[in-house]
Amino acid sequence: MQKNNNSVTRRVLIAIILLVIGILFLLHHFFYSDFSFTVLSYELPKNTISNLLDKELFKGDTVKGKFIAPDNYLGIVSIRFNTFKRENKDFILFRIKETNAPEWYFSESYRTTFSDGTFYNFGFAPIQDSKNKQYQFEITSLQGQAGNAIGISSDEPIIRTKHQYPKQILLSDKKLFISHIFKKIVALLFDPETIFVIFVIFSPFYIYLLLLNKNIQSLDQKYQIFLWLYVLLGVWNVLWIDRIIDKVLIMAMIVIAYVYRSGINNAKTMFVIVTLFLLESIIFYNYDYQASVRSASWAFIFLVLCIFFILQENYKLKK
Amino acid sequence: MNRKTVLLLAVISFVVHHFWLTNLSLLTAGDTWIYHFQQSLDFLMLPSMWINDPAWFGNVNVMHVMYPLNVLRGIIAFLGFHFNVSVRILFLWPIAILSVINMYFLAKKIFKSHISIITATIAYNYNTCMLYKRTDQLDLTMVMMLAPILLYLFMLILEKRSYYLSVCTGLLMFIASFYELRILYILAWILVFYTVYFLLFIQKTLKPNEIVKTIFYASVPFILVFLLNFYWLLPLWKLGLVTSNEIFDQGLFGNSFLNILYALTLRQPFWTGGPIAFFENQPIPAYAFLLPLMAFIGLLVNKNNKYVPFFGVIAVIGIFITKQVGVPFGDVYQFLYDHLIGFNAFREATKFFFVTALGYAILVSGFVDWLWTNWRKTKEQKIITTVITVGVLFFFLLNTKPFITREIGTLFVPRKIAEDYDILYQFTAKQNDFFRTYWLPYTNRWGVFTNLHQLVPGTYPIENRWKDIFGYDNKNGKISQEKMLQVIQSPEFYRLLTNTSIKYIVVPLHDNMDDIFITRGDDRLKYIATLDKVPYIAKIDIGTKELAIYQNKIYKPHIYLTAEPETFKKLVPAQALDYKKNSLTEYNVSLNSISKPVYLNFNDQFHPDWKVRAGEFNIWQVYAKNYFIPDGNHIKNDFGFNTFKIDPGFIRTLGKDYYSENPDKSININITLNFYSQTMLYISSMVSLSILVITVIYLIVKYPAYAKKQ
Repeated sequence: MQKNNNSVTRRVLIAIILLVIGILFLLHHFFYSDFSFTVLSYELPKNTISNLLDKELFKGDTVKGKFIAPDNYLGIVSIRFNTFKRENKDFILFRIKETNAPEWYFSESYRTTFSDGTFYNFGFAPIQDSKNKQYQFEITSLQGQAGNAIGISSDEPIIRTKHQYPKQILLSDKKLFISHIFKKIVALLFDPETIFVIFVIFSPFYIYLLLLNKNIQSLDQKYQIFLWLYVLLGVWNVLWIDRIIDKVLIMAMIVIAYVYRSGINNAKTMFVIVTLFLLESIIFYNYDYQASVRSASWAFIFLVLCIFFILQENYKLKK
Repeated sequence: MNRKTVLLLAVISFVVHHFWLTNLSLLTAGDTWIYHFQQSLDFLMLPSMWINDPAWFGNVNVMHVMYPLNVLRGIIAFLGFHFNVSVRILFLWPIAILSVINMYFLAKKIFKSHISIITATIAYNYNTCMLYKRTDQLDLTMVMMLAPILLYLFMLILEKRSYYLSVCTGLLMFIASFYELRILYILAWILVFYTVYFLLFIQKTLKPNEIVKTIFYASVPFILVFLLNFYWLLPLWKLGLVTSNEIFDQGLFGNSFLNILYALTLRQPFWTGGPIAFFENQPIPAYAFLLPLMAFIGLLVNKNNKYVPFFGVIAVIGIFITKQVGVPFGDVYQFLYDHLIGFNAFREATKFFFVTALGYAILVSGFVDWLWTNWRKTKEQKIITTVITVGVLFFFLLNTKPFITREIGTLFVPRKIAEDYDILYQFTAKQNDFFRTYWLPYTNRWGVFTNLHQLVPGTYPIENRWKDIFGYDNKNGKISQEKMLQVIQSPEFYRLLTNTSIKYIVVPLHDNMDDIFITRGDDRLKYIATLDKVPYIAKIDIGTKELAIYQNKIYKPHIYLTAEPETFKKLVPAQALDYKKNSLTEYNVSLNSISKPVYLNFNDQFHPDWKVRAGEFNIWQVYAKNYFIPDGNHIKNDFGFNTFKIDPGFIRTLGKDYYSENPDKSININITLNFYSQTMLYISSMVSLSILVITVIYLIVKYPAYAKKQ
């Protein structure tokens, strides 16, 4: 009885720890994704930017775009850049104005220290009555040259606008406040990226619950270990893109797989993992292209391991 | 061969390639450049180490490997056929035929069943990557089509240990080499990997004598290919250009187009399912992810088949390389590009897609074969197996739709040469003197360049050879139209035109398929308006409607004499010479009444191998000591061309056999201008030709014995 109680306590404790870890990761994600309560974010269609997608911007090249602001207090235009996987030492000039206005509302130059495939926020003083007005912006390369230039990524969404309502305004206007809360919830619920991040971040928690199922527990322990690794890598996949970690984890995986090579039918186990990563890659494809690429990379790594095990089995047979 | 299987595959190939097979219209697109009739006839010459490379004003023939293919083009032209026929005989029809049979023997050897043969053939030939190559790079496609046959023959060599097969394979690899050496290079690595695989997993023994025997038979085709390619390998090796030349040393290209997703799904990045969206990455449909799944199910269920794991290995190698610099381990491609001999020929990785295709084709067919072997016991299983098989075949055949409807464009729509280009060609063909025609902003596929009348792609020399003269930094990419307009109005440009034998300037027409003005973002009329204002050239009317042609009245000949070295600083007066062109690498020049040092100018790109011989010339004696006038007299002039100082005082020291003296004490000299490496080319060509003759005789003589044994 005492043993059973300990076991239940342990399981509940592990579940709580996994849940807390999930919440911490989620907060971490929100912290870095402009979750700020006062900010409303809107994705704009790809055709907002009319030219030069995924092309290096050389000195003098200008990317132009026009959009109709979906809300008031337009304060940020957020654009996804393509750095061509390198550090580019260029400067760009960002300018924005209301279409037909004689002068630029905001103009500033920036160093091209952007991360590949991520959004960069061009912030300016919020425009109070921006809703339904057309704005045009330009991004001009000042020093770009072949091999040292950034571009605008073609991965959707490529552009967002962010609208920052002042706290006082929100608090003083009840109608506006309720409408704002509603918009914020809807934005979160319908933001595919947030949904998938939640799905993946909490996957250790609910897969743990799943693994408590007796049928699954009857599977070989080593099989479960690989499933666990898949889940953990899935979490890592969303949160980090650092290339050194990439390599360390790949090496770690190869070592772990080698240590457990004598487990139940390794090739099949690997295949399950490959399939899971491929599915993950498909799921991410339209929402987070880089995560999809990383999932496919993991699928490939396990595929190599799968073939390695098959060759090893065959070589043993020949001997 | 099973007739029904072949018939089915032939019908599919006919439907896909129907446009190539049912008419003789002119087809040209992408890298399938048109060879005009006269140009093709020019190929019917002895091998040459020097070619009239338009971009460089003559160049070492680093593509001499294609000599046999060019001779075939020349022969077809000699028989009176134009490009529309030669491209069909040499590429289109063989590709359509090979699409029927190329996987037949390989799949049959591995799985036996006809359904696996059909699946493998369809999977290999009709995936998006292999189909894409048919729209553009036919030379690559030809070797990719041959690859499964070569691999099959190689597998047989190792198993049967047959000399006859080894020689046969070597000869077929030689054919592949002159179509596209780079694909053969990739295939050679696959064959090396297979040899290792064979030793470890099929031969079952690691006894040293067995290993030596296997390696010996495996190396026969390689040795034969090496010897048959001696004709270009030796002279280029002597010039240090085998692994390092302007084709190889270009830096990586297209990193942003490729990644693990395209590689894993074997999806051509620009594939839309309709017209190709060149250089615009297309989304991958979710169903495309089924391909790696099907392939690796095929691997798992056939893991005990002795051949199948090898195709898993080459599939992952193919995937790893075709992702180029993408994750995981993106640095490896750059490392291979920098360090592995021959790998620097692959500035982008799409040429490796066929490796994945080959692996996937066998693995997917293994999946289908397994279903048909193990999943047909009950009625339900039979239905499921049939549905899956149809689904797999449909997965690939769906890709052929734009070929059948011809909405793919490119090599599936007929092209027509605009009448203006014909008029221009007829106009220049009538003239017997050497000159160049400068195409502004660039040459297009309709310009005819022959050995006598060469073309210059306008912006190219400005962006490269002459970039310092015009202060152009080519790191900024292509030169802008504004800058080009400044260039053509500058006095420096006039001097360059004159000194580079440029007689005409042509502004080409707009084109409905590959318009050079749209590609460059230039305005054609701006070029014409500017050229109209340039004082030293005159617009001429040769009967063209729209094609704008300008004549530069003062242009220097190909070979001429000056009293002082050519310089960019001033226009040095030229004296025309009586010269005879024997070949692209040999000219006879008569210098008469020379009493003081003069400068012989040869308006081809400077190369130290250009040498001058005074007196009698014999190509087989070029290695004799002091055969040529010392290299110190050969200088690279300001235009990057060859200038030779001819000093009558020095010629007199050579002896009276080298000149004749006039009553006024001046001398007449017969000079031969020769490209030194040409002799080496002749020697190496004779070696290759001899090996080829011996090989063919061996195959003919030994065939009855081989057939009997079979």
